[in-house]
Amino acid sequence: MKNSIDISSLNVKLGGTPVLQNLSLQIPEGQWCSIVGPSGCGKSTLLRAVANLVPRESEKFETNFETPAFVFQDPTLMPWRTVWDNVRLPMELQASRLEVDSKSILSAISMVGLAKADLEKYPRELSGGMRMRVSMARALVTRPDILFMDEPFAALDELLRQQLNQLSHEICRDQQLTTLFVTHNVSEAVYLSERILVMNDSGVIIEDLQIALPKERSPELRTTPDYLQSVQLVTRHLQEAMA
Amino acid sequence: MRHWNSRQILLPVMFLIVVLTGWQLADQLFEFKRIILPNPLEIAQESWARGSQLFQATLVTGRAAMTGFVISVSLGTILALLFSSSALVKACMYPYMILLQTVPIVAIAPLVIIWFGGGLGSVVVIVTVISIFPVVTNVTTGLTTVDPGLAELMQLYQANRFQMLLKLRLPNAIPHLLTGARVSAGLTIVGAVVGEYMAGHGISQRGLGYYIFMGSQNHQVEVLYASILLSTLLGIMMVALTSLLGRTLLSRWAFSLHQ
Repeated sequence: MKNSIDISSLNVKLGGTPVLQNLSLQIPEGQWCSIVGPSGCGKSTLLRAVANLVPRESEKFETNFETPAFVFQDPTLMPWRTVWDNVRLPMELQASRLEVDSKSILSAISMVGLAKADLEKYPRELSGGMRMRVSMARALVTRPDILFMDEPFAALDELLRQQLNQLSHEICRDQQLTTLFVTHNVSEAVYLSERILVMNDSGVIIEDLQIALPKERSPELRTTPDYLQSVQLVTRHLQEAMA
Repeated sequence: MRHWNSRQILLPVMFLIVVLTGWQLADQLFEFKRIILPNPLEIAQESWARGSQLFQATLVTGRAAMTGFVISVSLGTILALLFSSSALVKACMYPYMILLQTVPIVAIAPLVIIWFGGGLGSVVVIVTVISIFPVVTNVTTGLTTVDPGLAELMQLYQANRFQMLLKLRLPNAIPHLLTGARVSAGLTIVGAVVGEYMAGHGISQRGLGYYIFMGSQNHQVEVLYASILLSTLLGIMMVALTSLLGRTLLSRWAFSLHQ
């Protein structure tokens, strides 16, 4: 399978301080890869470096994606725009490359389970879960080939988090999206991922774990011995990373 | 969003009635010299007698304040756009904006009158000088302090400078502009009255500042009190109108004017 991301010797400094040093990463097309690690270890910086949002240096930096999309920890919606206009934004910004069409906007909105009645609402009129759905719709509207997600469900309650986990899994599976996902939640990482990278405090990937679970994920999976075993395994490695 | 309730209006009005009644009674009891402190009824009678003159003066002052306000908001926004788009321009000019703000307006007013002559033009310039600073600082803040997540989002979709300005920085600056405009609106009346006090107007263009000046010179204390009251009411009206405009514009946004 072709690599969507192929990076070696990646170095990132923020404000003169090295955050990532000599890091290598290969992600095949269509894979859901999660990154876990202690707070401040550089998970989000890695995501931003791959998405070209922070300055970086590397020996090799090959990416095979044209249309990236990012879902941030906060929904980062524009408060002066309605749901419709927020979802429309990426198309407006890339008008030279993409046609601004209502069909794609409606499709993205229905994909994340928002109702037509919500389209004219402003972000402040929506719940936290709905705002995150709008943020996801905005990411999906350009039909991306890679999705970066930086702890998007961290602020949501457990039930809503599980609902949005399922929704994200189904969308990424159906669209065959390469997904790079940062989370603190090991259960979430195991449930969603085919592969988990564990980072330590120094910003080094200390474990690269393949998750041997069925490709199809459904809520029942969370009670199976294989799933629980995988959660224990990742937790153990994470504890080692934090030690 | 803040809504006024009857208690918030009723209590200050009742307090005013108590103060005015106390003032009237105290005057009857102690018989203050009229030249020092006329009682509320005397002020009301004099204001009524000069109603037409004072109304015209209020319109003149209001027009000067409104003209200066529009110039302040427009020019202040243009300057803020310059400051936010060029660090060099900001470094060169911003210290002088602060300097301009720290110089007392009564010290600048005579210079303005020398340059622009007496009359409405000078008053408008004085109003602009006193009221532009809150607009410049607030709009500059609004244009430069955008949500980092939204800035990254724009960067991800390779937004150009014009798109960054039009779709992110300008809308982000609107609540800040309205906050600045509200502070500025209150200052415009101060500027107009100081300008009229020092520059005066032509015979047909006498503002409240002129009546304050004449009232103090001719010991017409009732006119002085009435002019102070009218300029205060004008100031309140300017601030209220700006607040109303802000609330109407931002009613469904997440921002508030107090942010």
